[in-house]
Amino acid sequence: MKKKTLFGRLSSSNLLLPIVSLILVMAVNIVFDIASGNNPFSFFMITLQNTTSNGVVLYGRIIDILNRGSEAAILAIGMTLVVSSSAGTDISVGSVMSLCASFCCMLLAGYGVSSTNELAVPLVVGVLGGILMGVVCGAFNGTLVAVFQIQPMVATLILYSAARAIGLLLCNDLIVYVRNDAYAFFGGFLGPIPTPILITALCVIVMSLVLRKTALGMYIQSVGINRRASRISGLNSTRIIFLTYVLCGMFAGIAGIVNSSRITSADSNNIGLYLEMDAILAVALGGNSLGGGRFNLAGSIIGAYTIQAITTTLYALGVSTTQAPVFKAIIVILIVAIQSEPVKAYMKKRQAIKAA
Amino acid sequence: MKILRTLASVILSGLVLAGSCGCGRQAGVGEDQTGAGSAAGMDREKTDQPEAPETELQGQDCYINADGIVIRRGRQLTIGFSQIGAESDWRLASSASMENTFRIDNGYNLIFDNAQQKQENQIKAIREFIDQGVDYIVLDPIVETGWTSSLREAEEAGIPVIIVDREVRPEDENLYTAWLGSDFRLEGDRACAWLEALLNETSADGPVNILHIQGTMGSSAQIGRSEALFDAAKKNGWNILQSVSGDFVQAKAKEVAENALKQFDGGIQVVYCENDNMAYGVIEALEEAGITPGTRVSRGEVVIISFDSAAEGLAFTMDGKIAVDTECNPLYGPPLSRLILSLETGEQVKKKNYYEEGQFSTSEGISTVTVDGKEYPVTMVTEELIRKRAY
Repeated sequence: MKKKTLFGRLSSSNLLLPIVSLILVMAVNIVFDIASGNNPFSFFMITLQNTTSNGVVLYGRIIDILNRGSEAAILAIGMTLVVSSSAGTDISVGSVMSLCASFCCMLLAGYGVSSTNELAVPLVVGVLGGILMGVVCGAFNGTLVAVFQIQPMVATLILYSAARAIGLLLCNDLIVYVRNDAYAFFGGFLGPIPTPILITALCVIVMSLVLRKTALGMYIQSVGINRRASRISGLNSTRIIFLTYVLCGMFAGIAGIVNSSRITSADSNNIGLYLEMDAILAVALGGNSLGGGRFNLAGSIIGAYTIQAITTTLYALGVSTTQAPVFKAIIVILIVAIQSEPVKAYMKKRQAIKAA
Repeated sequence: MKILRTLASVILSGLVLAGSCGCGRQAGVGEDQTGAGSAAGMDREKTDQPEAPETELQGQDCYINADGIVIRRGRQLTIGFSQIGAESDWRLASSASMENTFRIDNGYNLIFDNAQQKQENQIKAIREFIDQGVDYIVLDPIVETGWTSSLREAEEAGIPVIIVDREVRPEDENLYTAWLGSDFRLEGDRACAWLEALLNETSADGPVNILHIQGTMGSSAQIGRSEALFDAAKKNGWNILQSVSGDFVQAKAKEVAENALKQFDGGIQVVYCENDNMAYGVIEALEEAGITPGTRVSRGEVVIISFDSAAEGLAFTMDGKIAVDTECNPLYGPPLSRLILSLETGEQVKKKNYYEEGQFSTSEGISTVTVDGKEYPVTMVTEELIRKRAY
């Protein structure tokens, strides 16, 4: 059999369109920079910057995209699995993020304390506590969806509205500040690299290894394609769907801690706000069907960074923050339209005509 | 049956009479159109305690304590307070001030509602206060618009509404009794006057490029402080590079500052942040970009101007990272209790009531700033000052 070229392999996989979308978004910056007389690649420049607080760090807009897109990318991992197995979305992840951050900060600061420099419990306890809270939330969602077979959106709606409020309750209605360098690490830097980027990379690598080296990935897809058929062929569909929700909750917990570490506080009202929508969008932009079944983890991750690239590009173009959502919507419509079936079919037809 | 009806009509006419008496008394009190609202409030009080004459009740049973709080010994006043949320240190200090002032042992019953940053929660809270028949509704409105129907409901129920801190749009002015809060425009003017003084003092030549990080768009603090900057920039020929919103939130401000730093690469001399929390984010972004916040513009330092003067903000001011921090006093409990006393005794109350605020810095050279011919002091920040402050 003829070995395929890299491009050939890419174009036959589902990754081509998500990557093209990402590149197109980035390319806008080249055009803009040329038009405004700057170095055409100034958007892509990465430099080393001496800082007063963190030593030498990587600096540049690409780093910003990777850094700021971390939470959405981490959420997108879990969301991809949930979408695949249950053909539904977990809309509670943003609120769960906030709850996990609140719980973690409450553990670290002690209940009722609104600002602290000293940690009340070891850092590990707080962070693992926060992630565990995410797992508990995921298990709650998973039970409702897998065992009680409630529609995913309805089941996760409960925590969507409740989790943020529970977080506030845990924090005694306060913003808890944990002004501690050790806690700031998760949103800070490891050497020259922003830690959120490394955490995201770790999550992606571990999850894709698990999905590849074990049969889990295949199980999730087969349950998503046909739950009954999978059960008849010996898969415990209930347990697999439950597991995806637990994983989704766990990733929400990790994302929540990263986000709260950035501002060294648990701002329950703002952490993860609307991020569930970004995560769902990331899955869709990654070329995954929200109807479940086959999934492409890499696509979702690219999707998440595409969303952040749009935001950063709009900033770079000087679009005001209040108008940015409008432009973001327009770009998203374009990307989704490019990936839609009728457009794909049309392209294929044209190619066939060309070939003939 | 007939007897009942007669009885009812007698009672009704009595009530109407009492009502007209109240209005008559009140009519002299206020040209402010709120007379009707507070008059109705008085009526209810009258019917509650028909024997005690009103003035005596006020005269004998109240005194003002050392903290400026009106302590009531007479009938307990129920006050419904709709607070915006718990988003910042400033907000927490204002909530604490309200709770300390309107305590049960001070003669008040405070119903506190935290709206969690949502206007719909505040509208719901106002409705609940009306149902509970509180004596006064105190509202800290999250945005300026969208209050007409809620305020009208309160007016119809005869409950006076006092707006604190932020404002509601001027069209609704006749729907509330009084407003108490900070003069955001003056705060902005004082900050700009300070910047002008600094630039004169250091006689820094070259352009003054300002990055302007705005608060939540449409909030009174944002509008007042932004307008002050726009006018000062026009007057002094300062160049505002970009006005972007950081929503009063640290994380958002850091993100927009990071982007602006790349966009204007080294061309920023001043960052005008509309609150302390955003200034924290800006300081982080500057330091990550290898820029020192300070006051020596000629050495490439970036001047950070901030508002609120919360404890943390003043700590940054003492370190010289925030060049000037103009106070926005959150302790509106005590002045509010005095305002309520005035309303209870039927004194004439101004529509807009401001309270005094300070300005803090560590720059030696500037001890006063002048706005519209009036001098305002600039206080040096010391550790002792931070320790002594209530927030």
